[in-house]
Amino acid sequence: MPKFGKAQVMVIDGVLSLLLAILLSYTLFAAWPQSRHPTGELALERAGYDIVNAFYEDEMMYQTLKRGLEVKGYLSAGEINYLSSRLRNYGLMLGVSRIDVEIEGSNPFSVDISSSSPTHREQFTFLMPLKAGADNRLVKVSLWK
Amino acid sequence: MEMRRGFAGLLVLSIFMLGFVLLLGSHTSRIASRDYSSIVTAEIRSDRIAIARNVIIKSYRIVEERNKARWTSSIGDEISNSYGLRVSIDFKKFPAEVNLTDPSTGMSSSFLLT
Repeated sequence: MPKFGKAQVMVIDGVLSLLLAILLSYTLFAAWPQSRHPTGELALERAGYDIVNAFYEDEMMYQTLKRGLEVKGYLSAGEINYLSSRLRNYGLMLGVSRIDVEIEGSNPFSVDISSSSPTHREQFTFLMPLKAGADNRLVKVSLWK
Repeated sequence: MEMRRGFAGLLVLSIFMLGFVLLLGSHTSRIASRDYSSIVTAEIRSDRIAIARNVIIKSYRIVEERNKARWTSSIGDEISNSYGLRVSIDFKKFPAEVNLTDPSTGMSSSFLLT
């Protein structure tokens, strides 16, 4: 067995204590709780902009809504089916899992896009002005991710 | 005996020093995480302004003259509440000027209704 001098032993002591300190410090401090701030879903906000825009800019969707609400005052099952199929395509493109639509004075409807269970939801409200003597309608669209 | 005491002392001292360094490090990451959250929140708030602006511009283009008063009250009530914004529309100007302000961030957007 090699003989160590006092100084060498102290150096080895120091190195060993440093290694032990690293081990113990990591055990103590690595799991230190970090507060997480809840943030909204940025992707859902971006998707919300596009969906709201689609109701105004997609001529087929806009005309379906306009026809149903201006003529009858509500959306028929066929019109809801048509809107659902258009919204399903938008939902697929935007990566959302479900879209809920509530139109003032009409039955609400939902479009399921993926089978995964949704966890986050953002709601967007917009106004659909109508002509031919009909009043404006408030539309609420909820996007789920 | 002296050596053991020296070892123990050095160990305790090292633990405190390393712990302090690690705590500083984790504090920095916590600040970074908080900063990231505030950036995302600001981004979301600015997106909300963009959506409200889009809704106001697009719906104004198709609103009938006789429905304009109701349109104005709906924008001032439902739309502003839904997006958490303060909306003011100045119809004295031509074209009318809209001012959207987010009270939580102070961000605002002004545009004309054409």
